[in-house]
Amino acid sequence: MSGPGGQPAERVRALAASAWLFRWQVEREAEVRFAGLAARLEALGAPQQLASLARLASADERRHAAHCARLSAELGQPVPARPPPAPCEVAPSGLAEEDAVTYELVAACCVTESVSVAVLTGLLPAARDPSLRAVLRELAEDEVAHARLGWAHLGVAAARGRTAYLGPLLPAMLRGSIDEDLFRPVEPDREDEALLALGVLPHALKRDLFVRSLEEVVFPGLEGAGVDTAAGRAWLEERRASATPGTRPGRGLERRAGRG
Amino acid sequence: MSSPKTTNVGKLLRVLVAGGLGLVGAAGAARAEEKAAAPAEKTEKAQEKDKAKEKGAAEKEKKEKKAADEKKEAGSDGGGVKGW
Repeated sequence: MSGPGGQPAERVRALAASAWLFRWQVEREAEVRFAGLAARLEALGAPQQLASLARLASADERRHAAHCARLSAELGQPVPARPPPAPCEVAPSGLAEEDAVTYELVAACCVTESVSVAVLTGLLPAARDPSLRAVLRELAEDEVAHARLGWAHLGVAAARGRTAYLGPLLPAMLRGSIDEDLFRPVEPDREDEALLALGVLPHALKRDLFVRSLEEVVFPGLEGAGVDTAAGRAWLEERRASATPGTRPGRGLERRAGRG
Repeated sequence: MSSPKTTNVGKLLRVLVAGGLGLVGAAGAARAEEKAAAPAEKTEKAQEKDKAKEKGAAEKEKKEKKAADEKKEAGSDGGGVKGW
């Protein structure tokens, strides 16, 4: 669905602009979330290294947001002048503060940042524009550190025997981490591989990376920290079963990767 | 058979977990364990001091909890963090 001269069609550029605009919002929210988590970790007396990592992550996210804003504007969609509202806490009410912080770090880092690393790694080989490549590489390096913050904190929580409560909460955590339509068929433009050159994953590829990240990294990592992932795995299996008939989410990545 | 690209993604992500879990290491875990054990080691005097401090902060804490509960209300069953 490319336009004349191999340039992405206008619709594809508009979709890519929306994706970068959404990422700007995500990064600004993450900046606030990590700053809050740094303060909460310090208040809990967590290892100083974790609070420092959270503070660094907050600064990283601000820088990422600037990249996303620039790319969104270049694609024709400038970001709003005002930052998005502060993100809500995602931990269920009723948890002790220590457990609420662990929940938030698992949701933000072990799940979301780990999946982001997979997304960025998947985008890099297709991005030919040097400026876009530089941004993706910079973000990928930072997101690795952000994901590790979550896994490091989870290791500390596991040593304290405070991770088991997370198991039954996984479906809500995972549901909240994806767009509602991730497991549904979408308009053909959103599957256009021309999106890759603009730093955006086609829909099915995004879904495949999400599924593989959970199955190969997130679930095994959580299990290693004493979290029963049965509820999370059941949730994923339900989503997979509800996906487009004839497709098997989690398998498409290999097909595409084979095409280089 | 997985392609080099898929292998790299899997490998990179596995490094995340191992690297993260090892990041704080034994020192962090030991500190966390010490912290967990600390209340049992406190003297009676220290406990009394803590109690007085808690009483003084009770009202403030109550207010903060109420505000936090209100903030959490929308996601009281828990939620997730959207990313890329």
